[in-house]
Amino acid sequence: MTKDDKLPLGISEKAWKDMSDEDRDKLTGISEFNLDFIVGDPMFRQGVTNKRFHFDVQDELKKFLAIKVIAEPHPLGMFSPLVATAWHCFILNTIQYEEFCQKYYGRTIHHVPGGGAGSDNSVWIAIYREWFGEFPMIWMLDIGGTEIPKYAYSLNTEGALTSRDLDSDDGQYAQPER
Amino acid sequence: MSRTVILFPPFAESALHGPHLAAPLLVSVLRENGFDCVSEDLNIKTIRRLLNPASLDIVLQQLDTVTEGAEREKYQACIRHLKDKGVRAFANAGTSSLRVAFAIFRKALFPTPETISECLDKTFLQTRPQYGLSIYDEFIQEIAGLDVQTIGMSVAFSEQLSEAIIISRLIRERFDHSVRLILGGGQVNLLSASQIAELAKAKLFNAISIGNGEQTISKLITVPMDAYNDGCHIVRSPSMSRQELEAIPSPAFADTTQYFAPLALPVLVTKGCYWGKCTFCDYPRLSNLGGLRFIPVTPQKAFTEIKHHREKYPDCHVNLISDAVPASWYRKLCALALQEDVQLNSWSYMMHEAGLEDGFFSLLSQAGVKAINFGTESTNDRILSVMCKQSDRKTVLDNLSVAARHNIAVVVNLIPDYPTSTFTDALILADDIRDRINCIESLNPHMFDLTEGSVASQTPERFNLNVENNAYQRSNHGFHTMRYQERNGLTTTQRNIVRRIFIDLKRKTAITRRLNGIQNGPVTKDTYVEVDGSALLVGRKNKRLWIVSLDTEIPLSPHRAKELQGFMDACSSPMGLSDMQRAFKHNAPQNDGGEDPWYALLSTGLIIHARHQHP
Repeated sequence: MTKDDKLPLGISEKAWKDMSDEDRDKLTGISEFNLDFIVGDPMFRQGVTNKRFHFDVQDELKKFLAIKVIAEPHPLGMFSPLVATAWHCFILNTIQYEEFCQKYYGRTIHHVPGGGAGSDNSVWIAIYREWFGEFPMIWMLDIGGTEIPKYAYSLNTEGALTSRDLDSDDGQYAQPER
Repeated sequence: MSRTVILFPPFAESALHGPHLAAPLLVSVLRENGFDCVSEDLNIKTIRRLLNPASLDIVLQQLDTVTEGAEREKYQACIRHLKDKGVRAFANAGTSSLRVAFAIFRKALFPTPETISECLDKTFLQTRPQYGLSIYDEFIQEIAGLDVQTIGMSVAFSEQLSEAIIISRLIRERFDHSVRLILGGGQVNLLSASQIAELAKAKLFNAISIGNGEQTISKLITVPMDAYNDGCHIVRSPSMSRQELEAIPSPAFADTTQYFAPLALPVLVTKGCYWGKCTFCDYPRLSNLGGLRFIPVTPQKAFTEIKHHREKYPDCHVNLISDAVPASWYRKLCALALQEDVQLNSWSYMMHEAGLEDGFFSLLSQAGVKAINFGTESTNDRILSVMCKQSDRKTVLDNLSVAARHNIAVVVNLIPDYPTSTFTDALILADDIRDRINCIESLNPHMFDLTEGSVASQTPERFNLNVENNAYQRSNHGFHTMRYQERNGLTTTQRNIVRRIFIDLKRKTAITRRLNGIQNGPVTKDTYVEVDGSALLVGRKNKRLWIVSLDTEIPLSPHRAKELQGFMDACSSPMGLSDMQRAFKHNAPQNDGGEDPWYALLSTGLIIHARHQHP
């Protein structure tokens, strides 16, 4: 990769350098994964009427899933209504979703609707910031595009946004490999 | 000319509320031996001077030179805000906001070198902005008026060493070599032999005192000046016995009115640490105890001192000075306090121990122990073992809960990236702390520094470390921090993520404390709250709320920034909780989303309990 090339999903150069080759391949693959099938009707049916969001949200969903696949923090709660909607649309395409999960994660990335045990997302928020920089505004909007008042505060002070939907975390970390 | 002056140089942010122990102890020892001696806390004097409006203007000007872009805009906004509000209002949530301001002062006027060699480089003095030097020069002129023969520099913290060297250079310019200049203090004890030799060669100091200064100071100030013709003397103290420690007179505090309220006075409890085995710790080098890990004063001696302080300064806090107060010693002190009905109002370090249960903390609480700072460091059994701590995970977590249950403010020190830690280990530690956030008053996460003299520096291979010999750099722990690489350790990105997580947890702990204080306290018509006086809006294009005391920034849309500014202007003095809530609703009529915007505001930590009743 030359200096002028943009790194996958805009990851910082430092974080990219620190990654193993295997993780770089995963991130590149996730970045290039075509999610265009969720644009249009699938998102409209979920209530996202502004088509601009259908495109903007794709990279954010990829970043979320990349963090899951590569860093595997717990809990990994989805707190953005817009990104959650994109995730739902992806899941509804069961064949593509299963292919994605098996290829990059080796098993299904489960989805538990309606929250769950943990709601503190400060760990993966820290990973996101270190890899990709600040969260863009799209994470703080409801599906109609209106800013959710508490989010900007919480993202910066609590890191403990209540998740709308949580993934399948069992709340346990795998034993570290030494 | 026979007077001795013991100087406590800038900058020691932990000595804002009261004097550090070392200089007043040396003064009392010298006076007891019949010498004329005073101490000067140049730390608090410099800080007070820098907080003058005229100094703040100079800091603002200097920031034009040393900063640019968004950083300049942010720092200048902070200093202007401090100037407009005044120190008292700016620090209404405690002195943490002032510490941020001091960091800006230092960047503007007191840039610090990274190594001792750079500190000693004569050209460094020429690069220093003139205003900072002129403050020091004024102090030196005052000292010159004291008819002084000996000046002792007591350097307790790393940030003081560069300033001690600069002040010493200025002293040499003013006094030439007619004054005896002695360097000592905890930070000097921790330096490597090569660093001490470097200081000795600099032709600044007549003597460098290593070990227990209380034992050597009286001899040092009587050495004839011509004895130094052959160069600087490096003087090591003999070992100190328990009897000698007990015989040290009470510290002679100078003017206590210059410190920030509440006044906190130090009381010596032990030299050394009763455990003394932690593999990261270099503190065994602080004192020469003849092979013993620690020696304590008797609880009776400490109690007599505390009683004296509490009588003289009824509202003062007491800092029990020890690397770790032994539990058995604490029990005896508390028994004395209860017997004589004296509230200790104390803070101290402690180690986690299996025996610290309800009865122990209940006793401490009854005797008025206010806060305990635990050297927790980790909650992982494997890492605690690598650290050679005496406790396991269960003990650590139990201690935190039980102490908090007895209304003792628990301060927790952590090292989340200790050598051999995996990324997952660090994340689990964060989980453990988050689960107990309601038990914790304050969190002090420190990323690992390898320091000369620690077990880890002596046997680095045990910790997967490759050490660069004699390669030192400055850290919060001092100039004796060693450069190293960790094999199979966290990557730089992982370490940055861990740092972010723990800074966030520290902030969250502080916010939780504020929130609980408002929500759980008795809310009546007499309950007063106020807006954190350090909070300000920064950024021209992208507005942010910066709560300086929490060092947190919150991005705001333009209309919310306007609303918030209106609210902050309307609530610039303490008021009732319900009045403030009304003021918020009046200024933020558009906040009608699904979440409770008032709660969202509270959860930023912007609102604190009023320290003072409504005027």
